[in-house]
Amino acid sequence: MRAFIAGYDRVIQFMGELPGYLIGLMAIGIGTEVAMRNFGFGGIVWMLGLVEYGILIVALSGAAWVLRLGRHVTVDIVTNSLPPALRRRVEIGAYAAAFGIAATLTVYGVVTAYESYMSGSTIFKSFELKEWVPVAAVPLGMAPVAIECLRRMRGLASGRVAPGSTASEGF
Amino acid sequence: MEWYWALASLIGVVVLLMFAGVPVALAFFGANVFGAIVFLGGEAGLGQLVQNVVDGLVKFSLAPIMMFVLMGEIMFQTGVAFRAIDAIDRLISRVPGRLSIVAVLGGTVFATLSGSSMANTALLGTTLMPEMRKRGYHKYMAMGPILGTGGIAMLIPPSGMAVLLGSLSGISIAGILIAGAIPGVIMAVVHFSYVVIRCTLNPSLAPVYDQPEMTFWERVKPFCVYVLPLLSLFGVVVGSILGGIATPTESAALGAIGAVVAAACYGALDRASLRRALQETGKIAVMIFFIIAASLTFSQILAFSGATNGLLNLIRQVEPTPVTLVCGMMIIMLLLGCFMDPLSILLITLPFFMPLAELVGLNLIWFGVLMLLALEIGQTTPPFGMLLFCMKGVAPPDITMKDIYIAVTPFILLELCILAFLIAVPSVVTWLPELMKG
Repeated sequence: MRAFIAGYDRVIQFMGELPGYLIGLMAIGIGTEVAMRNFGFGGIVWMLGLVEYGILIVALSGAAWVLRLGRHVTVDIVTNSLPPALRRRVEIGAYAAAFGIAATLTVYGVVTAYESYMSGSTIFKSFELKEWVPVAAVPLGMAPVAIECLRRMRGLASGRVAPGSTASEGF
Repeated sequence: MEWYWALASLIGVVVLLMFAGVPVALAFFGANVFGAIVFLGGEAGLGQLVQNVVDGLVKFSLAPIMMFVLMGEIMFQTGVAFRAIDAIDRLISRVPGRLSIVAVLGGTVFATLSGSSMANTALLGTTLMPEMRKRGYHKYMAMGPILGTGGIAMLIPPSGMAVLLGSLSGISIAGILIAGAIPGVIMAVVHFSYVVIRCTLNPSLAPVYDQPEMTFWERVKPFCVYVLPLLSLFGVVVGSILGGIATPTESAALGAIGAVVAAACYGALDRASLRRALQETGKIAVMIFFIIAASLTFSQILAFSGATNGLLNLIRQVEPTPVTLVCGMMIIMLLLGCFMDPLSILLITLPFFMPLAELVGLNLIWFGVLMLLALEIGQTTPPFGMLLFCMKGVAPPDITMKDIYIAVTPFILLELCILAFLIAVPSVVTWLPELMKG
């Protein structure tokens, strides 16, 4: 079990670090495209599409990692003013709701991607792509978010995580 | 369902989840799931919701957000920004409130490099606050200008929030970026003048101290070396747009590449700082894009449920004048700013404000700049302005939140005056974009 969790943690960390490097590559890609176009070599037609799908990967790949780090924007006016015991319970409730939301999107993401795969539909931006490929990014990004919410709930319930802290422990 | 029940239930779900501590993005997703089940036909609606997440994110117009963040992070993580502030510090002498002036000017220069008000406040708070306190500056005069100037980054191009506003609202990104320049400079001048006048009237706020003797060249050289070349980044971003070399979206990438080149030229770029800059950019971009994915669908569900049209019809019946409407919207944004972060405010208000602005025929670029200014003021309004907490994080331990509230108050009042001025004289905002359009 420990090895499984360690492996999962490595995957989440990789998914979290991926957006930064993708952004760096996209900056180089866009810069190259602009330079080639202006120096008369013609633009790179597929670059625009690549960057667009890159943004999708950036948003969904790192979502769970950023949740673990406590870097998603949270409005904590109400919870900060609660007594610690009640605050813990409210946070557990909040993460239960967040788990439900992420799990719903995961399930319907799988359903939508599967239906799209079966229908064989394609989308064309600056290059052709099977529609299920970008759709599959939604459940792949949302499932770890749901798992992180569960871990946080467990950590809060067991007292290993303090309310309002950013650490996501629990298993 | 009547439109007002649809509106109340959708907004109610978002607010309830947000205040319970659910991350803002997931709170919006929660309202979307609720809306998809109630208004979009259950399972089919949830499938549509997933599709909307993909459609909302696969947009090239979102690219500049991450590129501007990268640009600022490179300046910050490589330490190039700190050198620039130090160079401005050397340049200024014999001015009442010298270090506060350095904060205003340094903040304005860094605003042209970063586009992030949080980065601005953190940088100035870290570099200048200890020196100000050591020199006997009153704590209010030490913190106030830093907090006031922190928000200039939101107006002066390149501004990450301006690009975000343009991406979400459909207002011309190039138009908002260019239109923010003059109000940003006006704000810097007003803050500068306030500091000089206050410190002249009451020198004890910022005691004069002996500076090491320096020749003219010793003062000017660091500015020429560490500041002037950096301003070429502003030229790369804005110049490439105006020169037709790149679109506003592409120009941000050129700015990020320019920042890497600049850091390399200063010998400040190493693998560790580049990695830190990329990782921090990644975290911020993930956070912003995740919220955008949720909020775009939220706007669509609001429209589909009839809530947007219902509210518009109600306001149409009231027949407000454009100025009344703008003032009302600004008041709502300022009130929300006391309790929420700019991004959340933008996402909650845009689905209503944009149709309203179009309904009464407002100049959208002018309206966009007013929104940016209101958001900027909201970042410093007590009790929960984000920059106030950022300042608390970098200030010495003896500084209380009450001290910070008092320090920022004069600057909030000045900015409210500027907001009123821009509402009364729209040409200050619209002149430059119209000139560029030619």
